[in-house]
Amino acid sequence: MVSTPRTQSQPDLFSDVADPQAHAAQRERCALQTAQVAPPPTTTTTALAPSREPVWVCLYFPGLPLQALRAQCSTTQPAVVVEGDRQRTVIAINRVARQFGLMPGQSLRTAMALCQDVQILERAPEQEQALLAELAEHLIAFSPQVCLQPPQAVLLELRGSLRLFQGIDNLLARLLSQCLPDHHVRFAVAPTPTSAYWLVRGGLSPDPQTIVKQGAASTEFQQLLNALDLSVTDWSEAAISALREMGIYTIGDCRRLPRAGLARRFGVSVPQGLAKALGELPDLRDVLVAPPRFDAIRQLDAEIADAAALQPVCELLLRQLETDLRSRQAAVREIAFHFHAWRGHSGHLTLSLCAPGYRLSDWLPVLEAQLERLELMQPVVAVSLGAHANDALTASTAALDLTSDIQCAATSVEAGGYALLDRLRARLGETAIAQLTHVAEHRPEYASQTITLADTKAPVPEVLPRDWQIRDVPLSERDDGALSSVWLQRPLWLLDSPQPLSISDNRPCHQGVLVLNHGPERISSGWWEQRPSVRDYFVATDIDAARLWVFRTWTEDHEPQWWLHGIFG
Amino acid sequence: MVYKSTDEPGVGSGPTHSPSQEKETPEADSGVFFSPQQALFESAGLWRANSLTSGQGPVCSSGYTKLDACLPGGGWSTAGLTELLTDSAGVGELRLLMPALSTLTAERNGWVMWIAPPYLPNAPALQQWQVPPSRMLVIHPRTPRDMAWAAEQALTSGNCVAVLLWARILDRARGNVSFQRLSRRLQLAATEHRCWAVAFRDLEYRKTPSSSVLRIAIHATGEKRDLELLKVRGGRPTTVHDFDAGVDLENGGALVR
Repeated sequence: MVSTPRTQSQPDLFSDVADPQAHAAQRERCALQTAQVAPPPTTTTTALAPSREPVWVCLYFPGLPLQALRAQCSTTQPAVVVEGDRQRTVIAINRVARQFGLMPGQSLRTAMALCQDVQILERAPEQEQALLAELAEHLIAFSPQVCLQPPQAVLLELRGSLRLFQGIDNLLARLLSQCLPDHHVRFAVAPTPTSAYWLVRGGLSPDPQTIVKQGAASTEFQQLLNALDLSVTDWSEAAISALREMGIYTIGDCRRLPRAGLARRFGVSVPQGLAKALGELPDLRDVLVAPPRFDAIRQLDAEIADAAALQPVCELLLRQLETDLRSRQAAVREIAFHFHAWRGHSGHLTLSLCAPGYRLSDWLPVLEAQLERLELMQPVVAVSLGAHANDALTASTAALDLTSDIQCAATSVEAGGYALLDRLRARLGETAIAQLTHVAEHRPEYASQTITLADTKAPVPEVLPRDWQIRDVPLSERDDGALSSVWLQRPLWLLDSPQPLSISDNRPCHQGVLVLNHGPERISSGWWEQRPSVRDYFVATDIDAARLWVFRTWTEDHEPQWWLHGIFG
Repeated sequence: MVYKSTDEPGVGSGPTHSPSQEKETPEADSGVFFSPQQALFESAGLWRANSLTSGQGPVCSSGYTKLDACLPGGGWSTAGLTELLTDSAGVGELRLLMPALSTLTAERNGWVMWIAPPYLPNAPALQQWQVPPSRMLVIHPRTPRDMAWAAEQALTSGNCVAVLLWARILDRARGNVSFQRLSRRLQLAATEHRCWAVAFRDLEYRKTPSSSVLRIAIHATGEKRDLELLKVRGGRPTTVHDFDAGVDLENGGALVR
């Protein structure tokens, strides 16, 4: 009983794997047979063994450019998202704009002619990609194989999830209704990811049931694929226009051409794309992996209204985080505490570090500084902690006692240097702390710049260079007169912005008439900006004998103007 | 302050007053003899003359020979609080520190913290003085309490080579955060964590006491800058006239040393 079907099916299976030509011949024979016997074609195809080919669904979000900009986009006014440098084209519109007759694909001029007070938004590709990745993360619930297809689509393999979700129709319904209530979405089902993407771009979709049952062999799929316009592909503009000039408008036309010739004329991407869409070539894609996340919640025994009393609970959560991160060999830069009340939310706290950390001791000083200032809206009944473990753990090497540990001391100071920054930031705020940098610029106000922690979320660049060699130029060279004469006098203090000086008797005054000692030194730069600066700098002495750095500019009436810019401390 | 100079009888380096002898005194005097001199030695307020020249803790040359000659150990005491009193910014108070900052940043890895400076430090000028600008951290605390806290954090962290504090806000504040009260804490933190604390104050506070190791008033007369050493722990108050004479300012002070 058991052996007979196996022996029967074996030659088929074998031929399928080893000899595709034989298989094709067999299929042809089969088709011939059906033609001769003439049963309806649908019954013959169902008689074949059910397809084991993958089932790919491509979800396409036409409104993604608008969704990514929804913070700026108004809901009551017509708004369009535009793209392109010269020929600015509308790529997405909101609902109000639709009533005015605006359409995606119109030029911006047309759009403005149709509606005068339309809000124009520039496309933001980075925000779009972030939103797309966020959407794709939700889809991991439906399939283990979720791939991003930038700029506006996500691909899912559904064959593995069919049984769990009781069939393709159920699965698609849940996928569309539960997961994506806010987004307008188009979809197409196909046996290969490339064909699914092409179909969805062409606005066509074969019946999902047919694809599940018959795979690429289904005639409906083949017909739809053949009918697609060439513009759905991501081939180069040149290739597509050349093909059109040859009278080849659809994928079907393209399939009829010899592949070798196509590859010679248009490069390998054209025949390879076709082969991938038809499943002849493997189509390898990066599968989206959700970043590891830590989430923990602790219920309190009693309500707590005092923020400082929450510290023990927070410490427990941080200890839990430390264990978790240690086991993953990961570290985090930002964590968030949420304080829950009986009804709703009582407050939250975001802690951030300059360098990725995982230990309780990394967070504790920052936590203490911020808990002090936390204001709770309601008594807290539970505390939760969330973090994305997205940085690799970098452990510092400890030196043996015997070795001279200069290097080791340097690393520990580096880590400690960050800890100091974190503590200061937690209490004083991001904008209160700045690092000084020297920029290669002639204009003094640009040559010396400060970077605050708010300017960059990344750690401060070249914080503590380990191999800082202060005497990179030997002192003997510095003593050289030729070199030292190049060095110009620069004050140690620089004013935020130049301060205008009054003039008496044709001389600048600052609490009395200034005496000019050295100068002028002309600094003329910034021609690429609206107002290039031409300044003559002087070193001056005031009545209190403080040495000042002043400069002179000329007005349009050729009147001198004097400014104070620095003080030689 | 109790001063005992070496020429006074009884405090020489005689055998009876050597430190080893001193340690034995509690046992020696337990039953038999108690000299008032020995009681004096044990009191905390006494400074021994032989400790005067050595100074306490690490020392970094100021780069100005005239000043070095007047400072105990021949330089700034870089594990302690130094006070600089000026009547306005820009009279040479930064120039005074630059050579030492250059040496310190080259020797050790760490920040130089500028707390509430009146203007922005100028990076090219620092570079000319061979002080790496990227190691400067400028912070602007809003309240005196934050300022005192930040100064103490910077000193105790062990990651700063120097902390420069413009103490005007603290001087105006009252209570625990007033500079007068804070100076003791800053001094202790600086000594314990081997960090150089420098406080800039107005000249009007020259008469008020503080716990600093060194207090210097800067007087500007014409091109000359005179340093009046008001308090020198381990040294004697004196005045250094025209401290940067001979320094080639054209070269950004590169030839100081």
